[in-house]
Amino acid sequence: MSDTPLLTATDLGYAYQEAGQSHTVIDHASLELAKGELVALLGASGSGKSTLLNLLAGIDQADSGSVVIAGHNISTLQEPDLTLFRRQHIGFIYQLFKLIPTLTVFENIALPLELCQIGTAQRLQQVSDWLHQIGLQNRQHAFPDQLSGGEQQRVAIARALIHQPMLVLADEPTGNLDAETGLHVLDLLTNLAEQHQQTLVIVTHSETVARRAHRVLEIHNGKLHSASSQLAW
Amino acid sequence: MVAASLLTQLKTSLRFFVKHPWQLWLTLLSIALGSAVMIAVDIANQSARQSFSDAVDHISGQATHYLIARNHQALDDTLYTRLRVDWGFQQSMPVIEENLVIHGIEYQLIGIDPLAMISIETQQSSVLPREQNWVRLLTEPKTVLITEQTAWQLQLNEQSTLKAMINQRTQTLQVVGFINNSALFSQQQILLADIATAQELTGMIGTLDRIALVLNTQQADRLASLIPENVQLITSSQRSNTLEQMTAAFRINLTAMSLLAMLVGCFLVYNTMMFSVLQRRQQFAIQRMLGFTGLQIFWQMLIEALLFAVIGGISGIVLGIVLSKSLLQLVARTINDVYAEITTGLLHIEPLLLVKGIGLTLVAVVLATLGPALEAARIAPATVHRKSQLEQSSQRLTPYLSVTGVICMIFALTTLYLFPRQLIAAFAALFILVIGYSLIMPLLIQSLVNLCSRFLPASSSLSKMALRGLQRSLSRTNLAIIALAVAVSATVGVGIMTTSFRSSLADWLGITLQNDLYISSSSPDGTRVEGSLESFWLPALEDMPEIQAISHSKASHLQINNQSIALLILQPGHQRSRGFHLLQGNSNRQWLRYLNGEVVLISEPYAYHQQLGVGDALEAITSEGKPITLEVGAVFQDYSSSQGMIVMHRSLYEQHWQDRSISSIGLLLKEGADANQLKQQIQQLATPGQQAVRIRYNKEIREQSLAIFDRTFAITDVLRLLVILVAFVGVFSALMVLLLEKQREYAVLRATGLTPVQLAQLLLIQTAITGLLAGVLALPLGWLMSELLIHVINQRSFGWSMNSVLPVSILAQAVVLSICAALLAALFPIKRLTTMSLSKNLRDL
Amino acid sequence: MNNWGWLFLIFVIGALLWQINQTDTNQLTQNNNVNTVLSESLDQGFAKADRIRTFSFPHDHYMHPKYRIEWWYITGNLQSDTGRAFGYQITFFRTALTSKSQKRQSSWASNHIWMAHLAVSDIEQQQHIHTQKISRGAAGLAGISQQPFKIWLDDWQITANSSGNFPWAIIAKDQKISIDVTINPLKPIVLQGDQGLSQKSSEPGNASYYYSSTRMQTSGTITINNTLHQVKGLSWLDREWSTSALGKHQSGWDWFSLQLNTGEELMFYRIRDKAGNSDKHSQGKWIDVNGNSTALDSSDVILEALDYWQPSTGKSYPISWRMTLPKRNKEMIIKAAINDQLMRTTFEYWEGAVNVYNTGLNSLAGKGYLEMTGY
Repeated sequence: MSDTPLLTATDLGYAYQEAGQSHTVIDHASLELAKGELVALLGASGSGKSTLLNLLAGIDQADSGSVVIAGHNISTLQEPDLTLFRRQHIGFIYQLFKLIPTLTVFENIALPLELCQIGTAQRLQQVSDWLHQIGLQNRQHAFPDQLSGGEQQRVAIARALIHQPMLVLADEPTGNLDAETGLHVLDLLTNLAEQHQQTLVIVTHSETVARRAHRVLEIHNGKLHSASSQLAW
Repeated sequence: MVAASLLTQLKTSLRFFVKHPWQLWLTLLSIALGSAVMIAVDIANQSARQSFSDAVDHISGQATHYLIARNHQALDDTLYTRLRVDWGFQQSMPVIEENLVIHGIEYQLIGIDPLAMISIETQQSSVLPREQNWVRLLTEPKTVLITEQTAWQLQLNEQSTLKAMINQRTQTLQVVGFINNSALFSQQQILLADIATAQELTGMIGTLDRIALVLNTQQADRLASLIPENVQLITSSQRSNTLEQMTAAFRINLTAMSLLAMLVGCFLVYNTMMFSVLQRRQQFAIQRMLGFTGLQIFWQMLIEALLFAVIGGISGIVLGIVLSKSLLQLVARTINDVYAEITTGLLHIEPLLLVKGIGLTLVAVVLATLGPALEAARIAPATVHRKSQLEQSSQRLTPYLSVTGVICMIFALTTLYLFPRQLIAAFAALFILVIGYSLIMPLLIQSLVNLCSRFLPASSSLSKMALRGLQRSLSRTNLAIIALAVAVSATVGVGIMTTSFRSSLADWLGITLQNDLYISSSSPDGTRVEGSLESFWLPALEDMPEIQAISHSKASHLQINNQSIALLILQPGHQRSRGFHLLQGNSNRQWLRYLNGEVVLISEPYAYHQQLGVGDALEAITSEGKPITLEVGAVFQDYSSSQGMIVMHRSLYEQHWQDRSISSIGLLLKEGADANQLKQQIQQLATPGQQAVRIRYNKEIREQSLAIFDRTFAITDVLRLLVILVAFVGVFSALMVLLLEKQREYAVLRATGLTPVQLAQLLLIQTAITGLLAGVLALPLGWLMSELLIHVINQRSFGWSMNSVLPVSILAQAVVLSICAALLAALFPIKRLTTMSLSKNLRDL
Repeated sequence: MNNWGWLFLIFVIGALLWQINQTDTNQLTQNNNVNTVLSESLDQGFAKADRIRTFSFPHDHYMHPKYRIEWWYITGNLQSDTGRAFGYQITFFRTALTSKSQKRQSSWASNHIWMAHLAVSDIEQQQHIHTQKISRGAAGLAGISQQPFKIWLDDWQITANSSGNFPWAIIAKDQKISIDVTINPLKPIVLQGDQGLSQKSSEPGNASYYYSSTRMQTSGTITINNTLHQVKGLSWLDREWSTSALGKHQSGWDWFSLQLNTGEELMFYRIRDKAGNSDKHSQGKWIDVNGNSTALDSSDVILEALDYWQPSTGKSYPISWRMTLPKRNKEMIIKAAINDQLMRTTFEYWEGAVNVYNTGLNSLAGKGYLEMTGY
């Protein structure tokens, strides 16, 4: 791992309004992520872990505090720069896969490259490559609703990683899969991230995932701390 | 170079709509319908307008002037001889025109002197065929030349014979050739004949309709001083202009209705596009998350809209052209009834018109899609998680929309005040009003729904569920409700206007038709009174004991500011009432002055258009060529024409005119007199062989007038129907999408114990409430529209003032119509929903 | 728009394009339209000039409707009081479209077409202005009446005196020219050809009835270019009617009417065949000072064209001639007073004032009119 942290989040705060009342989701959270680090983020439902991920990815803007990724202060970035930054440097994986239903496997995976304006020939090459890496080269023309959960998530992983983002965020990637499939998917994800030296943050319940991580963080009532013990579970 | 990412975006769009074929077809259909109505009306208007242009102008290419008789009568043909032999005007040509009917289609017979025409035509537009067979026109009776189009249409060649109906007589005509330069007459269906033949076919021996002339200013002045008093010299442009002006208001009205159809179509496009955005919320959020900027999503929507517009627009053109044929017939019939005789032309489809149609469609569809496109662009990537954001945000919007809406309505009213006489400004105000009201509607709907929920019986859990469901998805149902409401309000508005008009017309007829029997000399076409009654009538009638009072009138014309105004010369008898509804100058003093021949009465349209009032002076030239000054004594209501009429007492007439003839007699019978018997007696008086007269009962005239009115408004009925159809399609699509979107929700309801019947009931209740809301909300807007139509638009178009009537039946009908339309539109979606496979819908939950 | 509609649209477009194609020929044939009307007839009901007839005057000044065509042809050479020389021509043509006239209701129906030509030659200014009128013979627009004697077309007219006889008054005006003259014969009427039957070719019926008044005292006014001139001089009246005159092999004629200072006149027409050679039916008359006429046939008069003039339309007209009468030992040079006296009317012909010279003396021997047709 290199010396400069990839991501520095300082004193993040986020709240939402409902029926005139303010509910704090993230409360003065700070963290640092090193390049190539695998971090597991634990927390109960409603603890704000998904929100934290969104803040780190620049999908949501924090009410207070800042997020600096590789020197870019994304808290101060305005649209469309924020989107352009995210396009190039962030990869996101969801529990519910979130593939575009009207695009094929191939097209879904190719999408980030198209956004980064990679040429057709090169795109073709790279997508084929990744299809092999996730083992779905024979399903490239299938639509998401024709794939199993595990297959869909593999596509999602390829999509999230293909453009070499600096930071990959995964929100309970195995949450919708059975244990065995989940393991395979997890392996795939961690191996690929490691291969390409990408920083990976995984929100999870699973101790298996936590065990693989370099570091485990815990979020409780919007506050972030390191996990008390790796073997607390 | 189009970006690959954009292509992929469009791929998703295409596949989305392929997967949701109902939405695809319904969007296309609403665009096509709205566009079709707009184009059809445009074509019909243009084609009718082409009929105004003068075929004779084409023939006498260089003609600068025409000689016509002042009283819309015919010219004595010896005038032409004098013109050439005595006065030396060599560039002149005699013309006879008459409508004839062949196989049920109307044509115009034009009789000219081919030899005189050579001096007056232009080389390029010479109409004589190159073969010399046209000489047969001169040597053989009943010979005609026809256009190539007519030959093609009626399957004739240069030697055929054809049967035509002219002035109620059937004649067999011999074709001797084709009109050269037939293309000039693509809009007028004409037959060309020699003047002698024309005189014989029409029975107008010894007369001409007009004489075409080429004159410079000096020659024109010289001729004007030579012609007798009952002949008038006009410039060639004056003739066609008049008809254009007369019918301008009518045509604008039609165009406005067609634009309304387009507007409703736009609502629907907005509707379906917004739905597609809502359905693709997730997808757009994912795209945003992946790094598509809001602008890219905006462009995706816009290009979708453009493609829809192009396809829908082209279909609209095809549909519109088909529609225009029937519409043209209606338009032409109305113009014939109300304004002047024209020959219904062929469809005139200018490419420019079609380009304009597609252009407008494109603009309209893109404008309608702006909202949804912006909505789509604003979808935050975080929405991948949050579903209820849209509902919240749209509810936040409501107050802003309402304020904008109120501003619009105020703006609309201001426009009316700023432009007190312009018709187009009035229509603009109407549209802005509708849009303003539509913007306020979400707030009104919200309030009404909340009101409903408070007053609904607690026991009916189903209805409560229905209402709650409605409340939650208001942002989506709003659009369906607004679209339906606007369409219903249009029918309400026009319905109230038509009823008010008809009632005002009926009232006016009641005031004007005071007599029991009317006798007039019958003119060939039977609709307008021309010609005089023979002198034996009055004394003969005065002798009859059953007659209580006799009044008589004469129709003539006055020339004021180079325009011919209808003049009615009235000799009232001892009738009960005045027979006029005076709007201004309604005093006994003024009435006495009128009876004494000191002042004249002018009709309301004339007063409105010329901005005249009581006490104003009219400088006129009589039909005998004498200049006189008249004073306006009063303004009376008149629905018989929008052109204007002046009424003069007989005593005043006899002061200034030599003529002593009368053209119509009205008889008031004594109580208990047998009208039927009297009519027969009078009929016997009219010796057969001499002048034919028409004797009509009061009731007949009344009914005929109302029939013409109904025929005139047949067009508005057709257009109303079309607007409703467009709305129906939209509501259908809205409900379809709405209900299908909630498939999963309903599946859950079913899984937790709701029977299909109960589900259907739930949905029906929701739909019924939707329809009810639309109907109720349509009423105030409809009423506002009708007030605008009656007191502003009709006033500015025709110069008529009317009393607005508010028939409750129309209001009730509207609400019922609205509910029925909604229910009807919902039947299919509900059926789909209640018979859907549960497992399939529950699976992905 | 249904299929028929589209077909129709294509048809109209096609017709339009074809029409544009045809415009050039249109202009050319426009004039020919009326021409063909006037020059051909398939109607066999007309009478033919195929026998000798008795002429009586003033009766025969009136029209002969059984014959298809007829004219009243007046030409003249006049001088103003300042010595300016003018030539004038006025002709009324009558054409019957059918041999029988139908009884029709309308007073506008007629089987006659009337045409009139008016031309004035201003010799000094070398200007020739001509105009044409055409009308149907109905509704009082054009025609001829016997009592009082009047021929008219619109506002042009020829009227006789109260007993229907000479002098005749001629009034005709147009935008640029007008004439108002009286003509009175100085000699008796000459019957041309064989007692008035003038045979044009060997076929019987290819002839006309033809008489002339060869020397008529003329006085009145001529207006040209807005200037009125008081004029005096001599006119020549030709009256002819026929149904068909020229044979198919004949193309036209060159017609001379000369009024010599000696008080004699000559009328001669040379008929040309399609090759341009003289036809043997060419003939004329020599009229002496007392009005006695002697026939001239094709051997009596030798004509030689000396000089040609070519208008812009291409065909040359001989406007200078040598006329030799061998039996009379006379030779004359006849020259057009103005080269361009071409009548560009419905049918084109050259008609103009000519000067006559005695060869050798080269002094003016007389004046006349020359007409050349069929070029």
